[in-house]
Amino acid sequence: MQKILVGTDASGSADLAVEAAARLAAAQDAELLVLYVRPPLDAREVFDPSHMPDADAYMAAIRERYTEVKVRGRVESGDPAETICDVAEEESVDVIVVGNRGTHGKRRWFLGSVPNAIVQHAPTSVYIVDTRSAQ
Amino acid sequence: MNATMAKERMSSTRRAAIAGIRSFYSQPLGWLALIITSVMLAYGGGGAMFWFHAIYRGEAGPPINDWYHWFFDSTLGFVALTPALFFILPAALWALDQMRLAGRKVKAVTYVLVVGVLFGVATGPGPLFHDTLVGRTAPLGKAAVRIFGRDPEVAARMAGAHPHSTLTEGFLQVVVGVPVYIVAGLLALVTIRTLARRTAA
Repeated sequence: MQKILVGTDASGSADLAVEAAARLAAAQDAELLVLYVRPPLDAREVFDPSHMPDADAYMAAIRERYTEVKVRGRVESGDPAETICDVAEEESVDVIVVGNRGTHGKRRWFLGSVPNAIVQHAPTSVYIVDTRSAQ
Repeated sequence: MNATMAKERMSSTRRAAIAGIRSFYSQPLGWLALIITSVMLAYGGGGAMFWFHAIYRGEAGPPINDWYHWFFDSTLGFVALTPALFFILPAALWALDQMRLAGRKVKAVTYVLVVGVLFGVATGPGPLFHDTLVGRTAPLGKAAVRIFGRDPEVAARMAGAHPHSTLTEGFLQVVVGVPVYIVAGLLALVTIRTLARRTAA
């Protein structure tokens, strides 16, 4: 295993997936690609900008947190599942890591389940991390 | 570009538009923004436009009390234009993304300008619909008089009203409406931000 991709939206539950991916990368001596996917149109950008995640600061914090792993950050905008699968293909990653509760409740009704869509369309193996404890 | 490529591009644009709208309304904040903006534009902006059309220009309408008339027209505007606003809000955010602007204030002001212009243009046919549906002789106009009662003062004012061309009314609706809706949109933005901050606190 040489390259592991973990998808995140900078939420607490996604952080658990990043944590698991970092452990896996450390055990396998693999590169960890942290992919932050911005939603295509985020109402917070205009109506609540103080709660918009700062992608650059988030990536810097991730790099600082996992110094024992070779971490690379990437920020993309679009449909989360589609973007994660596209990047996985483009980067030829060995495994995709995602949390199982990234999308829930009303948001899930609107956007569908991200992990479900990834499992169905991933070009490689998928590791689903149980992130329910962060809910 | 051949037909297949054009078809593919259209299909991908449609998919992106649907994904964008779903993403915008996936958060309660998107719905809150829709309701608050719609109320502010329909009742606040609509109030200013009612004054302009009915009182300042003396355009004809059902002879009912001005406050009832404003409430009646604004409620119809709220019902008719909220679906348009449902698409305008994410479209304005999409336009903002395309402009790649930096700075929260610049983004906020540009967003309000785009929403105001799009909404103002969307209300262009408003006077035509108003005259057809709720004009003095239209069924809803007559129903409004039955429900709210005839106001003799307004009836006297309207007796001296000159007929106005619907085209001119529509043109003025856009020209005067755009700045009015920009101001109303700004008030809506401030309200939504205040509510979002209070909810988070």
